[in-house]
Amino acid sequence: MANEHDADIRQMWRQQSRQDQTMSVEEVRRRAADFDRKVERWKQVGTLTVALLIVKNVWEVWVDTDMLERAGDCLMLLALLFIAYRFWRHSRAEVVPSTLGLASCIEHYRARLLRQRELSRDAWAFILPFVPGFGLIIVGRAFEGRPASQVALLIAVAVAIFAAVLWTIARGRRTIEREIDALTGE
Amino acid sequence: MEDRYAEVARTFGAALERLAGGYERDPDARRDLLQEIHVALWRSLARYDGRCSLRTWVYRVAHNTAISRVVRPRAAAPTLVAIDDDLDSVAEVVDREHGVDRRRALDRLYALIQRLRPLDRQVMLLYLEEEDAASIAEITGLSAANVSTKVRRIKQILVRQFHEGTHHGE
Repeated sequence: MANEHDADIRQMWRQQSRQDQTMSVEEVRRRAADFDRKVERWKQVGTLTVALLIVKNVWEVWVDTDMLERAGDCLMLLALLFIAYRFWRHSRAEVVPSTLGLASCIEHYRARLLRQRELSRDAWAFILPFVPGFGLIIVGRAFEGRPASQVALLIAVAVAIFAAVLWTIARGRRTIEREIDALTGE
Repeated sequence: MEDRYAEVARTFGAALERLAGGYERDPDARRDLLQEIHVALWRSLARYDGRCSLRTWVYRVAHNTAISRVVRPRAAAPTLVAIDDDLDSVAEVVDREHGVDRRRALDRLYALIQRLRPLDRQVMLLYLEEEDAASIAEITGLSAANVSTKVRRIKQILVRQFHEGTHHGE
């Protein structure tokens, strides 16, 4: 009896009417090309954004008169280049669709999770490079004679932003780790 | 490769459409996923070397493509549950009304599938496609014993939650 019900459900599942049209070979080829163009476009946007940030930082190094602030700007510039390099390396390691059939679902899923966990573990490496430069800029401003309250506010805002980013990443990492643990038991 | 893709699209087109529905509730997102799966298949077939059956290959590519979307962080992502844990509570989320028609029964089934954790969802979808335990194990990478346990649990849940709906609706 139970098997009959079960067969009914599977039959209902398989007999449901189709909603979408099958894609023609030409359409798939076109979409594959679109996908490549889209990826390329995002890479270009990323490169342009980094380039603009570098120009902005170089400009600040050029116009700042205070030595401490200039040193801070230089460190921020280096941090930016370091982060850009890390993102570039990460994007190169992205799974290409042609290999998807080689891995079983559990292998693929675990690989995705491990990759995400690795990224979240490296969160410090994305944030710490900016700390020395930012610190020097704040110290430079303090020596410039700005009111202590303004400097304190700047420090508080910076610390709050760093803490919020790290907390969010740590929370995501805990979720990923729970999922990896659950997979280990499968 | 074009001939092989055309054959795959013809043979598995309907199953892939159902699979996409198991991952995405929103029609636009489902269509996007389906297209992404077809593009991934188109590309992957160049690498197909016969080390597993074409059927296994197609399902692996489709599920792995879909899972890549599920793993992407989403602010509004619902909490996913395991088939062994509290699936009954999931069933309570869906409508328990008697006499539902076939469409509503299917909607309930999709809602149930979409709440499952990725691997359980894959087992459920493959089971619904009438894949046997050995094929499911090969596609998912789970042990045959684990698949059998999950399938047994799926059967119990489906019978308990849906047999009234399907019978009243037909």
